[in-house]
Amino acid sequence: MDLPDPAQIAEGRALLAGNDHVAVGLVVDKDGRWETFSVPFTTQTRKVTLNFVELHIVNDGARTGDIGGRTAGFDIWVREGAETVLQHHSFGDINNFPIDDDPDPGEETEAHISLAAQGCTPVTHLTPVVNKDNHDIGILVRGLCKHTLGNNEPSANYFPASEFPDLVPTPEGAKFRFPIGREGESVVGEPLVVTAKPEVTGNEFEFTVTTNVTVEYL
Amino acid sequence: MANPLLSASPDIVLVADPTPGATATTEIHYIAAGSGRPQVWERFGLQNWSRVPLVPPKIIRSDSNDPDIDGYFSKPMTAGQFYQVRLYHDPDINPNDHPDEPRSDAEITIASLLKSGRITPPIASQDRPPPGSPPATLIASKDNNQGGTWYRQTVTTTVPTHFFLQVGSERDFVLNAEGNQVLETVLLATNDGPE
Repeated sequence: MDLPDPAQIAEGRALLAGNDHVAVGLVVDKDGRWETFSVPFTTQTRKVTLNFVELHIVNDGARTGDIGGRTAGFDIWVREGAETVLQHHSFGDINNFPIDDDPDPGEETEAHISLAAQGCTPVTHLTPVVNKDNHDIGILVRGLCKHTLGNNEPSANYFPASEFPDLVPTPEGAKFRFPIGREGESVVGEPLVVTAKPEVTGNEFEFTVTTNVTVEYL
Repeated sequence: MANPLLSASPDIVLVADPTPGATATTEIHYIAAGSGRPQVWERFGLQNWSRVPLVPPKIIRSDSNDPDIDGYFSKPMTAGQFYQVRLYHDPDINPNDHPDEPRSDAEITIASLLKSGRITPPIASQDRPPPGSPPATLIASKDNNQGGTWYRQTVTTTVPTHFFLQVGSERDFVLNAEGNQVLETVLLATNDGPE
């Protein structure tokens, strides 16, 4: 909790946006005379905008025996709370979409993939009343890269990567950490970077997704 | 001001006797936060913190018959005082050296009021007392604003005061032992000076 005066002491939790509250004040003088007041108020409404920036191929998962260039398909889900999906972007093609963790000159977009160019349009979400069930906003990502021999290789920032995350709660590492307090609760373009790792030990396909998060209170 | 580890009964002390120096008593109950011996500190106002010896006669009883697990002690208060208690588990923490970090496992603040000292601001100017008498109201002005995750309250008083502010939703209100409505969770407290 933010306070206007250094002489004041903060205790307890932050307030949730869009909720009705009551503030009760008590002043007491040195003789024990006292006066009270109460103020009903409503915290401002939270608006979150997610701009998808880049998917970075950290390791394209190449194995001995793979023939030709690496290819993959990707999914990005925006989660509100544990399981509610606000948006799902799907792009790439496991047979034709090129990826490379060490691209040749002129082919850098195979390592640093613009998400806007892949149709990942921004998501704007207004939460009228924030509660513990809808407070968190998270990004889940999954990729599947092709192998010439053996099974194709999934990678995700949730477990198990071999499944779509329908029943997987949003992991802590996938959630945006909302700042709180008078000076810092609103942010513009704060990066949220999530990392997808392979499910199987020994596999190497790994990538990050960067999303810029803007939080406003209206 | 309920806390599973630290509680006071009553959490607002009402002194019935208006004689200066008269006291009323609150009783503190602490419960160890972990397996270690609890570390309890206390202070009046903004004085230095003092460690509470967790042995009889200071500890008057214990639900577990072990003051290292839980215990009760009482504190007499005169009207106008405020009293704070903190509970730590680390014996090396001295809140005088590090007031806010690390956070205590629990903290409570108890105000002491003169039972007959409630001031209701006068409505009409003719109700105001003559010059030289105590101010008819403590609160000269107040203002507030809020964002999405915070609330700010400013109060200007006519004399130096302690200032307590509790914020919660309406469902957080509970009846205390005196039958007064209070908020169960303290979010903000305190300012002990004039503004």
